[in-house]
Amino acid sequence: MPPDPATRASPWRDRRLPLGVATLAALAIAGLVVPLFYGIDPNAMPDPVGLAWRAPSAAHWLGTDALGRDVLARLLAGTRVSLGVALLASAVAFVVGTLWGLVAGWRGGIVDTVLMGIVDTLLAIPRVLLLLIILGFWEARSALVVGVILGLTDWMRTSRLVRADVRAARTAPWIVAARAIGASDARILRVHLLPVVLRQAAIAAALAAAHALMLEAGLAAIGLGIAVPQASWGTMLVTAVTEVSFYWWLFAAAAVPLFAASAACVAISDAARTLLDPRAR
Amino acid sequence: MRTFLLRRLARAVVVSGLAASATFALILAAPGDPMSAILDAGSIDEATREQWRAQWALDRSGPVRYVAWVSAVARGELGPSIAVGTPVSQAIAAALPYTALLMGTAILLSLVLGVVIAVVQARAAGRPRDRLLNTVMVAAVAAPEAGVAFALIGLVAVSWGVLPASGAHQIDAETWGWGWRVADLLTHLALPAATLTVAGTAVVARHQRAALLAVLPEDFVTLWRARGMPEGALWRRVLLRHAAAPVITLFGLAFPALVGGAVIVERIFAWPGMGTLVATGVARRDAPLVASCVALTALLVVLGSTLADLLHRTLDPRLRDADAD
Repeated sequence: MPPDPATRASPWRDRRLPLGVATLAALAIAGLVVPLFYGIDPNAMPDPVGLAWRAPSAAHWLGTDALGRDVLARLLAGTRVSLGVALLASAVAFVVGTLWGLVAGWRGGIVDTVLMGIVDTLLAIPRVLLLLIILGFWEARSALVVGVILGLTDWMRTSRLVRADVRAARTAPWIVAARAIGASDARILRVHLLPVVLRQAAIAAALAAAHALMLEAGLAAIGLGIAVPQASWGTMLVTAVTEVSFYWWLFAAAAVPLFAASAACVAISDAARTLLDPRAR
Repeated sequence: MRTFLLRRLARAVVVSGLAASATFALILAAPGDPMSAILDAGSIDEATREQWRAQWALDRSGPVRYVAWVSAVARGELGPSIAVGTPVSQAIAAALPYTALLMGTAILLSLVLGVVIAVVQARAAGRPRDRLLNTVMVAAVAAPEAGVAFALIGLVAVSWGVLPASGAHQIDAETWGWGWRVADLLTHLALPAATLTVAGTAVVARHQRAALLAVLPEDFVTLWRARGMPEGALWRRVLLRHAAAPVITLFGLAFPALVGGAVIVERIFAWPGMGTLVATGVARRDAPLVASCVALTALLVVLGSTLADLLHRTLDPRLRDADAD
């Protein structure tokens, strides 16, 4: 018999949570603080032809890109943008999904049918297609637009989880008691139901951040990413490969932090799920 | 059983109708129309533009164009596609085999590899091999498909030059014998299928491992062991069968992709499937084309989950009596 992991899995011995948080914190510091000490402008093109595609050297620690821009400077700026986009997307998905699920689950009846019908309809359209159509409304997309739209296409699963939690909690004794003493709907939702659904919603939010990071790169790859010249992990990644050359330093500079951040979000979501449900080891 | 299937069918029609209508409205609301790319270049005068737009009924109001498309669907056609230049049904028929091949390969590989990895992990639960594979699977789930795709293109196609990175055929493949043409198709299939398989395998393995670990401590497993069932037979006949639920659910969720395709990966590898078709349709604001593709995919979303439910019932007799939706 293999050892039963449940007997060993104490949440405090779970290294995924601190590891994931530390990774994200390190990247955030790199994006926010290091640029203050690194004086090169990420969009500066001192010599677009002569300086193009230089491998890492003492002058340019991470080399240069197609237009001779310093990759390290772009990486630092891109880190801020990509993490910001992920945070924004995850926050939008979290807020919209939680409110939607709370209202649908609590009100029930026709409100529930209509709200969840909208969720079913949106889930029936592939997410990338939805992104393609909506992002087409903008000629050039800022990081803000990409972040918000990524969030607005990823709240539906959260709302389903939240609604299921609310449906299950509706008849719980403390809810019935709150109704009996005349608590208003708003108060029951805020004080009694929100804490119940927050844990599921937080797990979904961590996953939404990972998906946003990955999709930011995917959108950049199909020409619908954040508009040039703004640097982001995705927009840097997709310029590293041309028909004839593979610029490994540019690829690694963007791919490594992107991958680390996305893995950190998945690890955090996994760890949170284990805390919530010890059976989901 | 019949009411269950009928209810699901009705639901499929309603959901896909709503999804397609929402898509149609969004495309019409987006700036530009199918003729913008050709006509709005600047050198074409107003009268000519109006004449061409009138010829393709683009001067009509949104609701009129929507009704025209719905009535075409009701007649069993899907209307003409301005973006592709053929009827929508022909464009879909041309793209569908490529998407089915790509997604079918990726889904099959993901299921097989994922289950094998999960069994290896569950047999070594908690030991270094299990933990190492756990880390690898988290990494694979977190790997952005664009990153995987560009790494494969950069290394395998550009640096080593061993596999093609674009399209589904060499340009002169039509003149070759069929054996060479199949080989050519498979070499083009390799990189996009590998890209999709990375994340797919990890998703299957993670769910399958959890399900296996949930079944392992059950009394009936101990009983089978005590009765002397060989370990190999125990895994094949008892454990995998009892832990099949998540794999079936995942198959149901992946099912629509057999027709819908994978937009990002298909576009990166210029694979001539549904993902590429629908991306072209969106870029050219071809509402009938995109809405038809969405309707088809949405039908399969509901079909996939129904198929998964039926499979659950076949494997788990306890579910057969429940007729709930």
